[in-house]
Amino acid sequence: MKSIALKDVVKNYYLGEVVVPALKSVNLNISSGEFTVIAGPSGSGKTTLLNLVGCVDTATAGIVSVGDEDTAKLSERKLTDLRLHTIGFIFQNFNLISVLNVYDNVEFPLLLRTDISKKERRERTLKFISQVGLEGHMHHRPNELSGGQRQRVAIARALVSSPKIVLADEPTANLDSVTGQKIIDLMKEINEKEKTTFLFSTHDEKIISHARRVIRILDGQIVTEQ
Amino acid sequence: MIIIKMALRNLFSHKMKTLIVGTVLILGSFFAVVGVTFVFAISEGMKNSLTHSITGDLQIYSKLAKDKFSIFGDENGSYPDIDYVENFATIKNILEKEVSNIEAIVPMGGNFAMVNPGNILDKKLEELRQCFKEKIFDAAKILELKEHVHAIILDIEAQFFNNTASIVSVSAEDSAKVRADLDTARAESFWKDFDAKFERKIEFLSNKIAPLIFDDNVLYVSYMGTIPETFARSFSQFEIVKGTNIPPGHRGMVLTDRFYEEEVKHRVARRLDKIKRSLLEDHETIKGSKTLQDKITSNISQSAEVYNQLTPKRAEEIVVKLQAFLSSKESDIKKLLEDFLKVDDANFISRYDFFYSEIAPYIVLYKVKVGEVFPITTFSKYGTSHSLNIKVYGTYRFKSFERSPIATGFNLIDLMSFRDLFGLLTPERKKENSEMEAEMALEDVSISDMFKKSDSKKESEGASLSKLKSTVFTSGFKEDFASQGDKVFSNADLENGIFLNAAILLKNPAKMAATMRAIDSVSEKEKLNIQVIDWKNAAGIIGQLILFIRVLLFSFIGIVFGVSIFIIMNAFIMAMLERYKEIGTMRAIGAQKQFVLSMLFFEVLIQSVFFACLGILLSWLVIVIVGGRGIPAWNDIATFFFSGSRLYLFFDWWYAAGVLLLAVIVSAIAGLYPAYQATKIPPVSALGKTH
Repeated sequence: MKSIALKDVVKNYYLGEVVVPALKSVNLNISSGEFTVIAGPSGSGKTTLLNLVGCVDTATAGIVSVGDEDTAKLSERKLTDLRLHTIGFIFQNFNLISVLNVYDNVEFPLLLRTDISKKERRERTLKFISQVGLEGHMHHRPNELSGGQRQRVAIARALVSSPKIVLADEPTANLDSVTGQKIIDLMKEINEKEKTTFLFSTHDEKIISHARRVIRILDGQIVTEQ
Repeated sequence: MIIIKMALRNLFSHKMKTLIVGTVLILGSFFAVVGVTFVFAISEGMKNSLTHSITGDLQIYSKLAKDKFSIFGDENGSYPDIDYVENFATIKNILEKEVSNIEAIVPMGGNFAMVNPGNILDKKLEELRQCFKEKIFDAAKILELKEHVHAIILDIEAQFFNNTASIVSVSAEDSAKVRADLDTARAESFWKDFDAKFERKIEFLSNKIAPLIFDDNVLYVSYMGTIPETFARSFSQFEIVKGTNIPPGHRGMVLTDRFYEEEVKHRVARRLDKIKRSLLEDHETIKGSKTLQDKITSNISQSAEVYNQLTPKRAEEIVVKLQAFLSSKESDIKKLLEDFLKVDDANFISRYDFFYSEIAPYIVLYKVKVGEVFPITTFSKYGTSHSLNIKVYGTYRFKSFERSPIATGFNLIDLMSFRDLFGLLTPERKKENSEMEAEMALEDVSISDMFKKSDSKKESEGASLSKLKSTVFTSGFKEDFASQGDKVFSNADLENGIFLNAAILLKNPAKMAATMRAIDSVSEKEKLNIQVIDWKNAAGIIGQLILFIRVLLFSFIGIVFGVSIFIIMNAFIMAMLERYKEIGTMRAIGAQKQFVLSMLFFEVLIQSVFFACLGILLSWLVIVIVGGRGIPAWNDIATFFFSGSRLYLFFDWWYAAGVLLLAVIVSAIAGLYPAYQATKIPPVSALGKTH
């Protein structure tokens, strides 16, 4: 079953009147439960591709489908709902809400939903905090945590609402190699356990070697697939 | 819940924004509550000063008034032409019957008068004249008075050419005449046959010599005609200070105590009183105050007004006492007095006490004393002057704002005398007067009882020649007064006649607007031909001051909160930019725009309520501590505004609630734009490194 599909996707940015192509006619299909890495050097279009899949940006041309939905046809409100229910984000800089503690940060996406009871919210929050191994740090604020711990919080937050897809933009870029490895292992473990589709970008070859599927991208085009 | 948590935590995480917004809201709320409390306390004070003294809650006057009514006169200080209302009793009876909220109606009418009680020579000559007319001849008193008159005359030449001639230009011809008259008055031959020809001699001195004395004896009296006992009963703050109120039905006057002490009193004495008050109550020093030094200089230069009033014998006694008091060998009373009046901070109190114990009992301390009869002259709007002899029964003040110059600016006169002095000229009366004036060559006429609605025959008799003569001021006024002053008027006499305006006191002043409508309606229905205004309008410019102060306050609050909007908005925009990525992240992970909007709005709300409450708490402390003790009135005007010597402030939770609401509205307006801008932050900004 296709989880993500890109068909002839073009994305151009504009610097004044100068057109800067970021993606050039990209075609890509990712099935449910895949653990896929988008690899490529800086400026190759990895983040742009993730933005389009994550529905935080729109394509200049082509079709971006998430699940069975053509994202171009969705209203902004529906796109936001799609992000809330279907997609989990893990950011390079963790992007935790600085004034909230670990528990509140993880619980945050559930608070945006009206279909989850208070009890269930608590259970799920505690479950994912426990899954990333931060039971002892529940009341810590982000600035009281290490980089690895912060990224674990981000992973828990991305997974707490049980999304079908998790997008991770260079999740290990700001971590040392040992911590980075642990984070990848954790994501793989969750991928296997929860059958969540993982799509993450990186240019770290050590991380790439752990992926089941690697899509290499250069100058806005997919060059190889392994 | 998460929104509250985030809002509270953001208070501490964005310290600069919190500091700016907090300071603005605390100060804004503090000044707004204190300002509103202060201004409303002043408004209430002014309202009390006016409604409990002179205006009442409402004022009624003729619909035919040419000018806008103002009880304190217009901007030029003259009384507005408000016509008059025919019959007080009719108006009173109908209004009291038809309008249930009326507590009392006090008839009134204001005017200015001139009073000239005469200078010291006039007074001594009048005493001398009376002595000669007494059945028992008091030779010793006559001799003493003659010596005093002689002493005054000896001093006049220097006084006249040094003081008067320097102010008023005197021609060489007039100077020669003055010198010739003075020579006559000083001549031994003039005094030799004084007793035998006293009437001619006194007349010469009255007409030729007394006018040479330069003084400020003419008093300009602002007065208000009313029924004194009704006035006293209706205005609760009224209290007699000296003497008594005018007895019911009698003619007479009660002066305001302030007027009595500051206008009627001997000017050297009142300057000493003012210096004492400045030193003891206002804690000024003579050394440090140019005003006080000027008063001392004036007293020294006008010391003649003290020694001229002393009989030669009394002057000798005071010279001895002053020599001992000042340790001086000087024997000239003029120089001794000048030296005595040269006071400083160290010797003032002892000299003040000496003045009142040793000198004041022997001078004319008040130009008009309580219990005395004096002539009063007014000029009517019809171009005629009218004079009456009026007895001063006492002085009064309004409790708690006795030092206020505005609320105590009205000397009270009985309504009958007021009507006589008002000099209404009906067409018939005008014709009658012209005939009489032509016959008698009279210029000054006063017509008693002219306003009564009696039949024309009786009225005509009332204005007989003898009566007209009796009401024209002459120097021998006491006998004339006896014929008028003894008459006691009935309540019907007082009420059945004209009035210019009337104060209405209400049972429930809160229902003022409804009562005004009711009076208008009754006036319309019963054809009373009156109009009604509230106390603010009746007080003219002074009443409008309240409005002006309020407008000033609300403008100030408006400016403060207007500026606050921009400061707070700026602070929130800065905070929003700092949180650009955080808000982008929230949007990326599924937060709708509405969530962002309500989150920021709630944050604004929490901050505004929190800091406005702090400001209100601070204002509560200040009002309870400072306002509870009372803010002292720093001068007489402040006494009026404060309705007493201190302004007490009371914390009103409604004001606080109003300010809190205002702070929330201001913050909401200030937060609206940044919050709206925040909703436009794209989710993609969560991934960006810069924005």
